[in-house]
Amino acid sequence: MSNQAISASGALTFRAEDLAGTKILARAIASIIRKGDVILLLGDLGAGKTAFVQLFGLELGVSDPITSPTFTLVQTYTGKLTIFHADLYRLGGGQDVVDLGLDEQADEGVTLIEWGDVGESVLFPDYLKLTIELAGKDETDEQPSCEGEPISQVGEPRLFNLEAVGASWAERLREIGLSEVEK
Amino acid sequence: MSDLVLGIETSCDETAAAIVGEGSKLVSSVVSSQVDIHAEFGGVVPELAGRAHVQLIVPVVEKALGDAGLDTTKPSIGSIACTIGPGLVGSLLVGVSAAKAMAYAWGVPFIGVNHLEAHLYASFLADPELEFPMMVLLVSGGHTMLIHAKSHGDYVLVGQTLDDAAGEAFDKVARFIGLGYPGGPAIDKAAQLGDASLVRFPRPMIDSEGFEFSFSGLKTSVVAWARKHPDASAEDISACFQEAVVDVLVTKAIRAAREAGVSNLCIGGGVAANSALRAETERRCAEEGLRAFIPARAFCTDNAAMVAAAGWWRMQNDGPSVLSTGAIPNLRFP
Repeated sequence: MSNQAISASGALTFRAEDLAGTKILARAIASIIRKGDVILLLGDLGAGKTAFVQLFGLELGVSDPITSPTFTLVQTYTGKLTIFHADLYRLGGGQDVVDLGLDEQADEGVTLIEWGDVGESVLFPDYLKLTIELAGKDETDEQPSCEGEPISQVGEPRLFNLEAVGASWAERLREIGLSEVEK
Repeated sequence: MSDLVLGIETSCDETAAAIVGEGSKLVSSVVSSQVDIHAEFGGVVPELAGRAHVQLIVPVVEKALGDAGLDTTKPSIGSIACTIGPGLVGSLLVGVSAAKAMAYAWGVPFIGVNHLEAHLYASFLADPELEFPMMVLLVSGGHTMLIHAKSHGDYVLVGQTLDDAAGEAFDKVARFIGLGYPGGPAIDKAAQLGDASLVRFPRPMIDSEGFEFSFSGLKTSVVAWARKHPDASAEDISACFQEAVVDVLVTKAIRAAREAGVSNLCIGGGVAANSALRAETERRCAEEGLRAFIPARAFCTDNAAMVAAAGWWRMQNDGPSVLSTGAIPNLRFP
């Protein structure tokens, strides 16, 4: 169902055929997460950034529904660890991102930042960069093929590229308990 | 004691202050984005930053007091109501700290207000005769929910979005098809020139049991369709997309009102400023024999008049909040 390829540098590509595959990845990352960790999520509209955070939150025992923080900018959830779920989509970068104060509270939980590339240069020195791409077939239907399901039901294949930036993630990515490594 | 309430709102992008009498009579309302306060500071103030609220809070409050004909150093008001959550902690703290300081200095009660509950009270500004019980469709950039409001302070969550809020879908579709920010008003305007019959986008969860919403899949569907049809006009895409969102919202809101056995349907939140949602709510309510309550556009988007209105009722029912009340970023509603 899923496979991964890991390089010596600590980068890793994981293919999820459907949401069950994404869940395997969410569980693997949740198993190595520590207080103070930061994950930047990158990917186009509809790539599945919020869906990943929903699954990750479930793995950490969050019971409140996790919804998109695009407008609210930062939402906080309580599970085994506190989750700060942020979204930089509306921000211009630079000082706007700094003013959110994400770094001031990061030590108190796990910070997941959608559209994290907007703040990449000004935020954290040490983080996991998770880039999501749709890897599905190109639809050519005249009518919308997607039934508009809630993201918790979307099943297109996706590629997750995991890149360790800074020291703390590289080691852990090698230890990550995912399925068979395939080149 | 004066029945005037000074309302203060700093939970998100807007710095706002307002004076409202008896929970429904609007005296003055100032919203930072609507006035040229920025010029006083000799430059552009970043709209999303907490420090913008710091710079704007005093001039905005002074203008609201001045517009109401009140003394700005010791106004004759009965209480001060302020949004304490949900929102960004840095933004909320500006309003909460200012409101508590003024309440203490002027010797009037402080009332902490939930921002989402305040949106519901915008309907009382539209019509003071509005009576409970009612079904409230609260729909904004950050939230999409149906609330069964049984009486002041007695609310039941009927359903909410499982992923994106409706307003967020508006904004993201608008940016994708090149209409810019803010996306809600841009789609509204473009849709009026578009053909809503060009393509039928999905109506997510419109027939599903219960009253949950989902707009992420619709957003993705519109973006995918637009990618494949680069010649389709932004106007037509806007019209088709907007029709899908409005259809889902109104259909579920009316069904929720019916199931709850209430005859009043209110809409509130920024998306309630959308022309099509307003018209369709009015039309379908008339068809179904329900009364529609639709606040003026200025009281759908974030404002402090609704905070003052909610604060007045909160004061009647529960009394003031203690001055140790702080900002609660993830305050839940109900």
